Amino acid sequence: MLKFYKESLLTAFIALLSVVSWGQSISGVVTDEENRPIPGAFVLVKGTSNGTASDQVGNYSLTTGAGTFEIEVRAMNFETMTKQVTIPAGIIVKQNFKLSSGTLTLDNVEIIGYGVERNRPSTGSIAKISGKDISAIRTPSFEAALQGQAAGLQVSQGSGIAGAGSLIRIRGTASVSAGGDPLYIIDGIPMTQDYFLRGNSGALNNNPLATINPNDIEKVEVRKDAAAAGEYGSRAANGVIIITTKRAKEKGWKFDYGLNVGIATPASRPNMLNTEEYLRIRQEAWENDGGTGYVWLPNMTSAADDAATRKAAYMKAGLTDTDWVNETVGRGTKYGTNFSARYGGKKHSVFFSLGYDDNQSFLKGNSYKRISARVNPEFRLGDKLRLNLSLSGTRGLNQRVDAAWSGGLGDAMSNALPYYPVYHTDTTFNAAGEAVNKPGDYFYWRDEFGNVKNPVAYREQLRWTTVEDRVINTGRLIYMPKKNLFIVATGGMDWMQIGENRLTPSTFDLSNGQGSYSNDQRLVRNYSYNITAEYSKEIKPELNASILIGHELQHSKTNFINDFIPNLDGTVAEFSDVESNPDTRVRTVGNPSQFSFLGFFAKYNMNYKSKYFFEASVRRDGSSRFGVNNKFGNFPSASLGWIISEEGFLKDNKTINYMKLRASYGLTGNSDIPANAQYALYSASNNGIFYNQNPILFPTQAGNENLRWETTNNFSVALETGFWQDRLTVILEGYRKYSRDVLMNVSLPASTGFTNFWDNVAEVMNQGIELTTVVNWTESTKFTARTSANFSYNYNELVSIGDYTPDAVSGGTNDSRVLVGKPIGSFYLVSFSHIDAQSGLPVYITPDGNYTTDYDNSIRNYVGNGLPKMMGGLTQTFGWKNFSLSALFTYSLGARIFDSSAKRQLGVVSSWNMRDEILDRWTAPGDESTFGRLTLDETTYGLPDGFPWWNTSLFMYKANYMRLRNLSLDYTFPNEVTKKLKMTGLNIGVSVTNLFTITNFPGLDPEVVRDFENAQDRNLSPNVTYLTPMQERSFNIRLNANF
Amino acid sequence: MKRISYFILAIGLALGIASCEKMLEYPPEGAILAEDALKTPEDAQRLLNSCYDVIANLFDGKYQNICELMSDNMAEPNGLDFNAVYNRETNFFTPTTNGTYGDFYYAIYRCNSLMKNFDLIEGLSEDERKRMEAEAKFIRAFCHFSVVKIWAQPYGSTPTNSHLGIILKRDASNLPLPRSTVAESYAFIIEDLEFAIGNLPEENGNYAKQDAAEGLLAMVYFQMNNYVKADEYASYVIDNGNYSMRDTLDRFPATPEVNLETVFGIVSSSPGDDNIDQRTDNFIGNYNAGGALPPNLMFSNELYQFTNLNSADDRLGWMQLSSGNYKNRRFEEKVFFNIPIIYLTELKLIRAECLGEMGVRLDVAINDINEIRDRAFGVGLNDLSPTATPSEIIAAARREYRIETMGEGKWINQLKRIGAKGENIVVRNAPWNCPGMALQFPNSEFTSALFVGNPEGGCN
Repeated sequence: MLKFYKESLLTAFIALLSVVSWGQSISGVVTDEENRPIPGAFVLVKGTSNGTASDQVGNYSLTTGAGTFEIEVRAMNFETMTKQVTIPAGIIVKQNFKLSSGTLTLDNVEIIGYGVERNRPSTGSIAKISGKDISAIRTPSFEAALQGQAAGLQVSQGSGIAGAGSLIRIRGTASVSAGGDPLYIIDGIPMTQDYFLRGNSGALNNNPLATINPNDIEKVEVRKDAAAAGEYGSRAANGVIIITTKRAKEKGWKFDYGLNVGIATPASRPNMLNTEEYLRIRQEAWENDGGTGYVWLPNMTSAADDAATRKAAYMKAGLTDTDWVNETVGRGTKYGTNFSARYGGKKHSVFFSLGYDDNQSFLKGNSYKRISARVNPEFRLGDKLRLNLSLSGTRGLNQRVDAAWSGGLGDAMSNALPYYPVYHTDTTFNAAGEAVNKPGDYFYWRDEFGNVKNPVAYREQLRWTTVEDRVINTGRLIYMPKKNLFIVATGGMDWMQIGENRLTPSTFDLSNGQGSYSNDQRLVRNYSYNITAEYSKEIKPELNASILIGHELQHSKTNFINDFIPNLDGTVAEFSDVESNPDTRVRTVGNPSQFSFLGFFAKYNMNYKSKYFFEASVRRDGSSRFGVNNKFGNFPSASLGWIISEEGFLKDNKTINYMKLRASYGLTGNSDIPANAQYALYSASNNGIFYNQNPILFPTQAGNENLRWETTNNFSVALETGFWQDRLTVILEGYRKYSRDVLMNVSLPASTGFTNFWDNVAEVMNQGIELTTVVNWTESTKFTARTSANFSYNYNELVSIGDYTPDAVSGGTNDSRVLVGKPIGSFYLVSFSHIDAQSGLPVYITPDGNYTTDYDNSIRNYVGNGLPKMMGGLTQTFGWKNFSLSALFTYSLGARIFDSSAKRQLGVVSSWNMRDEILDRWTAPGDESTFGRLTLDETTYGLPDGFPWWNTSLFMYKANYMRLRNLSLDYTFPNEVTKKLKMTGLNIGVSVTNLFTITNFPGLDPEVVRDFENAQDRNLSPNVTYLTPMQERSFNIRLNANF
Repeated sequence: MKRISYFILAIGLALGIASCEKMLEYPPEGAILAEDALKTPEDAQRLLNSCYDVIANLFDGKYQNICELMSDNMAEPNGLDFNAVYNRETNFFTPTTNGTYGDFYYAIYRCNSLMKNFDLIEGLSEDERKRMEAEAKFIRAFCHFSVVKIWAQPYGSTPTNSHLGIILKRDASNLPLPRSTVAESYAFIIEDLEFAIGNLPEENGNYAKQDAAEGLLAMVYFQMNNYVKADEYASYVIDNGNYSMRDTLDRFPATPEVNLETVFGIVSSSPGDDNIDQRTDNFIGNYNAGGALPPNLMFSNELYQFTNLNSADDRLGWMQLSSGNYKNRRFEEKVFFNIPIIYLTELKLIRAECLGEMGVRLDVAINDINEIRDRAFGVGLNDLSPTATPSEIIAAARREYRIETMGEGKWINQLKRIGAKGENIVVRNAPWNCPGMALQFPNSEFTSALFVGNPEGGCN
C-alpha cells in the first residue's frame, strides 16, 4: 500500500515536471574512472554553442530539443569524450559520462601548485571551492565567502568596514608571533599577503586580498595536510590557499555580463544610553561616592565647581539628546558590474574581464571601490609549447572613516556623550566677549586623553582615502618535449602600492588652528619564479609513476615614502587645495625592507592499479629571514592512499560505491616574520642626536643569529566514503600537528638593554577531526535537494614557552598572553567572581581560590580563550525547475570573546557613554545584580587611582553562535527565452547576508576580528573586541547574462 | 633506470646550488650591522659617548623627579604616573618608572658592548682602551647605583644585606638574569668604581675623570653608612684643589658655563654651538607652569616650613607660593643649563656628616657646613658654632643637604639611609622601608621566570 502511494506520488511528480518542463533535455553526472565527480566539465552539443558546465558534484543538465545529437564532454586532465544520444520529444534523457584519464596533451594538461594536476595522487586533503560559490556571496572581500565552505577552514570576517579583511586559519593556529595565515598562491606564484603594510591605520588593517575581483576566480583550493600542502614545504605550516583565475576553455566567443545591486545595513546595533539614562546613572554614581547636589559633567563642569554651576550644567545637558550611533551608522548602497569575454580558437585563446564594484558600508561616508581589469591569454606555440599569461590590474579606492579606537562609530560607542550636540545651537562668547561659536558650528569636545572629538565633524571635514594599486602578472610556459614529460616555468610579479592620503583641516586644532596633510606611500615589489620538470611513465602494467623536480626563487622589496605638510591654514580643505599650495612637503624616505626565498624540491609518486597510491616529496628551502647558519631547512613528506572499494570484497557492494583511506605525514614550516630580525644592529647619530657636541653610535637591535624555521610535524588520516552511488558522501579526517621552534617575538626584560627579540621558543599542538558530508536527496534533475555540511573540532595547546612567563608575549594592546597548557590566544585577566550583595562591590578570585576586593595585576589568571573548539557550515540547496534556493548556515562553538570595550562601557562611570545593560546594577544591600555599585571612582572597584581599565573576566562571554550567513534565491531563464533574446544564459537572483544570528553573546556581534597591531596580535587576540564595528547585513539583487 | 639516475643527479645539483646563500643575504639598509659598527677608535668613542647620551636623557629631570616624588619634599603631583610614584603605588605598567629603569640598562648594555668588542677595534692603544674601559665601568656603576637606590630596599635594611637588590649586568648578553642581593649589588658597584679610579685620567673634559669616580664612590659608601670610606673618598676630591665653591646659590645658571663645583655632570649645548641640544626637558617641563595650568610638580608646604625655620635663608627664593603649594623656581625661565650630578657642596655635606658620625675632625666638618651657610645667609650670619657637638653637626649637615638639593632627587636616599641606620624615619606617614618605597619593576622583567618583583603598595 505504502509502495503504491510512493509510486503514484513519484509518477505524479514526474508528470508534473514533464508538463512544466520547457522542452527535451539531457542530464546526468560527469565522473572520472574512479566514479569521482568532475566539476567544471563542459558538456555541449557538438558543432553548436549550446553547452553547459557540470556543477561541484559533476551534475549537468542541458536543454537540447528533440533529435539525435553528438554530445561532447571535455574536462581538463581528461580525454574528450563524444557520444551520440537520441532525445525523444518530451523526455528527459539521463546520460552519465565517465571520462578516461587517457593521454595528457598540451591541451588538456592542467598545472595546479607545482605539478601536473592529474599526476597528483589523491592522497591529500584538499577542499575545492568554485569561483561561482565565492561570487555568489556578497562580502567585502572574496576570502570572507569561504566561510563555512570547508571543514578545518576557520574564516572570521573582520567587521562591516568597507574593505575589511578576515581572519583565516587552517586546522588551528600553529604560530605565535610569525604570521598564522595560510600561504596564498595565485596562478602559480606566492602573493604579497602583508596585513600590516599600513600597520593599524585608523583601526583598519590593510586587506591584501581585497583587490582581487571574485568574478575572476575559477576556483580556490584549500590545502590542509602534509600530502596536499607539503610541496610548499617551508611555508605550508598554516596551510595553503591556491587561487586559479579563469581562462577560456570553450571554442568560439562567449560573453558574460553580471550586475549586482544591494544595500548594506548593520547586522546589529549598540545599545548606548540616552541623555536621561546617562545623567541618571552618573548622578547615582556621584551620590554613591558621597557627592551632594548635582553631579559634574565631562566637558561642562568639574568636581570642584560649586553646586549652582553643576546644577545649571546638568539642566542644560538634559536639553540635548544626540543618538551618536545614528549619526555614524546608516545604510550603504552597493553596485557592482562585471563584464567578461572569452575566446577559444584553434591555437590561441583569451579570457578578458572588466569589473567595477562600489561597496558602501553601513558606516556613513565609508566605501571601497574596486576597478579591475584582467587579460588571461593562452598561446599555443608550435606542437610542444603552450604559454599562459594572467595579467591583471586593479585599483582599490577606500573612502576612509574612523572606526573603533580611532573614532567614528567608536566615538559613538565611547566618548560621545548623548548630551553633546552635533552642532552648537546658540552663540558662545569668550572672556573678551568675542563670539567663539555660532549656531550651526560643530560642537567639539575633548576625550579623556585631550583629543578633540566629534565624529560627524571628522567625517564631514577630514579628507581621507587609501588608494591601492595592484598589478599581478604571471606567465606559465608549458613545454612538452616528449610524451609524458612536462617542463613548466612559472614566473610572476606582484606590485602593490598603497597610498594613504589624509588632510586634517585646521578646524580640528582648537588651540592653533593649523591643519596638516600626509601622504604615505608603501610599494611592495614581489617577484618570483619556479621551474619544474615532471615525467610520468607506466613502469609495469598498471603501475604508473611520476617524478618531479623543481626550483623556486622569490624576492620581495618594500619601499616607504611619506610626504607631510604641517601648518596648513583654513584655506586648505580639499586634496585639490593641497596640490595647488606651494610645495612645502617634508619628504621622509624610509629604509626599504626586503626578503628572499629559495627552494629546491623533488616529488615522486606512483599508483598501482589506480587503487594504491604513494607520494613522497622533499624540499630544501632557504629564507633570508634567518641566521647565517640556519637559512636552510629540509621539509620531507610522504602519503599513501588506498581505494578500498576497488578491492574484491567491496567491488560490487550495493551500499558503498566508493571508499578510500589516505594518510600523510610531513614536515612543514613557517618563516613569516619581519625581515632583518636575525641581525644585531647599530645606528649612528641621526636626527641631530649628539651629546657634548660629539657624535654617537649605539646598538638598536639585539639580533639572534640562531634564528631558524618554525617547523610543524603534520600527520593526517582520512576515510572517504560514497554511499548509494554518491547520493551520500562522507569524509572523515583526523589530524595532529605538532609545531616546534615556534617563533616568538619575546619581550625582553628591560635589564637586557633591549625591548624584544625573536627566538625559536615555543611548541604548539593542534589536533582535531573534520567531517564533511554531502547528501543529494533526489535523483530528479528538475527538483533537487542537496545538503552539504561540514564540522571541525580543533584542540589547540601551547605546550611550551621555554623559560619565559605568560607576559613574554602579549597580544598587542590586548589582554591575551601565552600560557602553557592553554590555547594560543588565552585571556589573562583578573578573575571576577560576583557582586557582593551587601556592599555592591565586585569580588575577585585569586589564583589560589581566595576572594578579594582588591584588583591587582598579580592575581591575573587564565580565564578563557578566543579559539573556537567546533565550527562548521551547512549549505542547503533546493532546485525546482529553474529556481534555486540556497541557504548557508555557519556556526562556531566553544570560543570566548573578551569584550574589551565593555570594561569602560559597563565599568566605572566615566566620560564614556555606557550600554543599557548597566541598568542592571546594584542599588541597595541585598540586590542581586550583574553590575556593581555605580561609582565615578575607580578605587571603589579596587583599581589603582586614575586607572579605569578594568580588565576582568566579567566582560568575557561565550561566543557560541549560528548565523544564516547567506540566503539566496536564483532563477535561470529557460533556453527558449534566452534563445529569443539571443543569449545562452540568463539568471537573476536575490540574496541576503547575515539575515539572523542565534547567540547568547550580549555584545555587538559574536563574530569579531578587531584591528590588530601585528601578526602576533592577530594570532593571540582573536575574539577580542574593542569598539569594533558590527558585521554587515546586505540585501542584494544580481543578474547574470551569457551570450 | 637511466632516467632515474638523471633525476637523482639533477636533485643533487639542485641541492648543491643551495649553498649559494648570497641570494639570501639582504642586510638591512639604513642600519649598521653590529660586526661592522665598531672598527676604529672613533667608533668606540662614539659608542662610549652614546652611554653619556643616555645618562643625559635620564638626568634631564626624569630620574630626579621620580626620586623627589618619593620623598617628603613634594606636594601631590599632577599626572597619573607621578601620582603612582608619590602614592607609592607603582605597578609594572607604570610607564614613567618603567622607561627610566629601562634607560639605565640601555646605558649599561652599551658600556658592556664596548668592553666586549675592544678586540675588534683596530689601532686602539692600550692607554685608550684602559681609559674607555674605566669610563664604561664608571657609567655602569653609576647606573647600577642609581637603580639599586630606588628599586630595592636600602643597604642596611637587613643585617647581611641579603635582601633582593637589582639585576647586575656584567656583560653584553641579553640572557635574562635573576636579581642579585643588595650586598652583591654594592660590591659590584664598588669593584667597578675602584677600577675606574685606577684607570681614569685626571682630566677628561665633560666626561668622567678620576675625581668623578672618587666622588661617586664617596656617595656609594655614604649610602652604605660607611663613614670612614665615604670621608676618605670625599676628602680626596674636596682637598685636591681642583674644585671650588660657587659664590652664588644658583647651581643651574641659565647659560651653560664652567661650574667650578662640578666634578661630574650633564651638559647642554646652547644656541651658537654646532648642535643646539638641551638636556633639561623634564625639569623645565614639569616644574614650570604650562599656560594657565599649574605645574605638574610643586614643593610641599612642609618643605617650605622646614626651610623657613630661618626666614633669612636666601634659598627660600627657590620657592614661590602658588595655590597652597610652592613652585620650584630653580629652573624658571631657563632652557639651556648644565646639571651637576657630583659636586662639591654635596661632597662637603657628606664629609661633614661622616665626621660628625665618627666624632673626628669636627673643625673640618663645621667649616664645610659653614661654607654652605655663608652662601645661603651671608658670611658669618648663621654659622654653626666652632664648639658644635657631633649630633649638632649631623643635624646641620642633614638640614643643609635637604635644602641645598631640593628638586634634585637626592633627599629620598638620605631618608632611606638614615632609616636603614636605625633611626625612626617616617616619610609622609609611611615608614622608610614600606613596600611601595621600592619601585615596582617593569612588566618586561616579569617575562623571565627567574625574576621576582617587589611587593606592591602597603605604605598607606
